[in-house]
Amino acid sequence: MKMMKPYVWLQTSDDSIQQVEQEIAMFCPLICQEIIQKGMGSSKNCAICLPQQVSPAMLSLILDYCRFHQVPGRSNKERKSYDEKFVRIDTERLCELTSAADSLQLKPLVDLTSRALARIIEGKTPEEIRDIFHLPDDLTENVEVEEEHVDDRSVDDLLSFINGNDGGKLNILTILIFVFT
Amino acid sequence: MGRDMISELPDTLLLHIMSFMNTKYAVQTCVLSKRWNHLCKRLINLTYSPVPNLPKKIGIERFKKFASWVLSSRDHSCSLHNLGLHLCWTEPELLDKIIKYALFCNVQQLILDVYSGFRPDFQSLPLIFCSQSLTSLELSIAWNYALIVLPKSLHMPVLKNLHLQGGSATHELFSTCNLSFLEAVNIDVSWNGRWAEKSSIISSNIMRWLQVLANVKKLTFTSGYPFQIMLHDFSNPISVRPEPPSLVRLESLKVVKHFSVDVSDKEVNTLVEYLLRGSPMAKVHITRMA
Repeated sequence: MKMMKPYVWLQTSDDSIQQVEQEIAMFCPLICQEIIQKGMGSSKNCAICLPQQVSPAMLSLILDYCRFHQVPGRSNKERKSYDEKFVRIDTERLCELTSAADSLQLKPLVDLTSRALARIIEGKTPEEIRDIFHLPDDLTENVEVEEEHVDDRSVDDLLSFINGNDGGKLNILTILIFVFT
Repeated sequence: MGRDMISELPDTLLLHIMSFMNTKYAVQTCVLSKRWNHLCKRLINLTYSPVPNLPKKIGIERFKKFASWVLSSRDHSCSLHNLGLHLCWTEPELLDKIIKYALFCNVQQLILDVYSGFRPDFQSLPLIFCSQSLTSLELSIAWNYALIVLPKSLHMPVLKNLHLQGGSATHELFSTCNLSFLEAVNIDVSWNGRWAEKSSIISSNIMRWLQVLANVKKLTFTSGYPFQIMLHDFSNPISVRPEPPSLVRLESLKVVKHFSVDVSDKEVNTLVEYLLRGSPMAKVHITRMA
């Protein structure tokens, strides 16, 4: 008799249902909990409902990641080079992937994508970052006004501020301009 | 125009992403947009690492800016997990304040790689050595280490990793310790001037300290100086050898040798054997530096 490979049924955010090898899906702690604690996923009728963040495209990416890392005996070098290639995707998908992996509690992948996003942001000017991620420029006016305001308080004043002796509130922007310039 | 996907991520994920950045860039994200404006106040990992070889004056100014940001703008209700000060020039008062602040925020990992700024009357130094939250401490004090007097007792109940560089060992090192969870120790003690005259004091201090560290699994001598001092003392026929330490759980002993005098492998091996008398499982790695 042919050995049946166990499968698990998963429902993604667009309500479509698909069958996935159980041992690969179990890599995601959230799916693992559903299977073990709630006995879900064994048939199409009781498919595991994945969080909103997990679209079919993201699920497919995440399963690729799990499939690769699930194979025993791979060297650290192989894994590292796979990971590096894996996050070479456009930034929108990288964000989506971070969110999906986080919702499935897949920490190694969250770390991987977060690190990749951090690398994209680091060392760039605010304008460049806004361009890459399509961030709204809704603070600029504010900053220009603040730039003329010099914070001349001594560190002792600042410390007393922490201790609550000083009622005044400092705007972060005021200080920032002088922080790392 | 594409979608602003990254700003849709929850705060916890954005902070997680920022935790992989150099603190300077993480803090700069506050000028990006309203969404990012206040996030950096809740950073739990702060690393100050200016460009190397900064002149002292500029270095001090830069640290002042960093410290004022931390002390005034950070959300003080957020605990601080890591504080790393690297290659740091600082005024003693400010360094003292920032260390106290970190300890007040229950800092878990503290790296102090400081050029100047330590003083014997430092209030925060004894506080470090009785921190209830620190799991990892790396203390590296260049140049004026002679001024640092380490406290005699050390009560850090959750400390796992301790790296001491530059402390003077001419006085007694920690003799009473509560270090139940300490696993890894890296000692790199220094000395005042001509250590050869004091080698027997330093050597027996180190040895006594090793006796206190009974639970340690990893022991490293980065510079080889403590090792060299002990070797020197061992070569003296009139010095009395103290009891060897009993490091029963020790798994690894690492020594990086860049000895200034010729030391034969045989001498090193004799000392290693002596140190590891009570350590059945220990593996020894000796690296010779050019």
